[in-house]
Amino acid sequence: MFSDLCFRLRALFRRTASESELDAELNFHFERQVEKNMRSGMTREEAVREARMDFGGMTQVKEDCRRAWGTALIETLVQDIGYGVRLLVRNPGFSTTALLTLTLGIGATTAIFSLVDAVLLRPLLYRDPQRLLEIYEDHGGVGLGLTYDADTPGAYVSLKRQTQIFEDVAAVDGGNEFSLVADGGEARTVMDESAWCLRSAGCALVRRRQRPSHPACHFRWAARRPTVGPGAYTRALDRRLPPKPEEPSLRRESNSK
Amino acid sequence: MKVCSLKAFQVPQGTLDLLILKTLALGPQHGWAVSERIQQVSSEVLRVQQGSLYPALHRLERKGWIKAKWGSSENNRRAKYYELTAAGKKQLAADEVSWKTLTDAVALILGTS
Repeated sequence: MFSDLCFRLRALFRRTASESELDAELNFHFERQVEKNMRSGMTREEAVREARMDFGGMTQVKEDCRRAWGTALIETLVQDIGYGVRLLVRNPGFSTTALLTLTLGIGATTAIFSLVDAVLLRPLLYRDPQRLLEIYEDHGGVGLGLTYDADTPGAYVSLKRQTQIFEDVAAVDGGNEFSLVADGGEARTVMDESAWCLRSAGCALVRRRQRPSHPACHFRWAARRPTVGPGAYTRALDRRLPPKPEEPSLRRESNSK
Repeated sequence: MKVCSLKAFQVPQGTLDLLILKTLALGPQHGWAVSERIQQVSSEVLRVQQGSLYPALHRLERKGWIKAKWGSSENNRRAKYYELTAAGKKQLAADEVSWKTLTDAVALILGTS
């Protein structure tokens, strides 16, 4: 095994030496054959011709020996790569086009896959993502010309109170602050996502930040498995909201988990 | 001129390795001597073509059954001598046994007629 490796490596990296040794070896044989033929009464010319016929194609014999070295695969590969590179250098226009096509193709494929992976393949980090729904109001293009408008705080409060089909309803907003007017008439500002959303999605509060300019806390949420409860803000919000007519039974189940 | 009326056979591929190993078991030899010896010992029946001898020698060397070193020949020329290694000796013994088994079996079958 080891000797095989050594032999192959030598044939591969000490190529010139291996080749000249092969030449010398075959020449020696050839000369001996010529001498033998001459001893049997042939002229030198006849002897050489006879030996040559006997030998078959010298190139073929060498090729077979090289194949026996077990380096043919790598050598063919190197030759093919060299040939490919020379061809590319000779046709710069074709090479540039091919290279550009490959670059754009690979780039586009990677970009699309990244998108598909993030949007379709990777599940949301929330619990039961297939049960999460977005609710929005369809204004049919009237008013400001917006078909879809953000839910008003009033809509949120009534949805939250009256929902029969949802386990829970939460206000979610990407960038803008969302004002809730509760029964005391005091404005509460909910940032990012309201506490319920995260509780029903199985997430937990990871950081809480007090901002002096606002009366309410700002919450930063991240998608994590529940470790602590939704926090004081939720309870405060609950207290300020009008009393619910009926507590949805599903929510109790999720709380008890 | 050859007086021998027997047709010279090309040595079959699998057998060549065995013949080379056996020939080298007598002592280090160069390729030409190996082919001459096989021809002589077999009473000119077996002929080893150079085209198969040298690839076979190189293959056996790669397998580690024989090793090569350069030396000077009878007429003071540089020649590549092949010599049996320990692994080669083992291989030769095994090959001889399997060859014997094979030819015995073939002989049995041919003898039944």
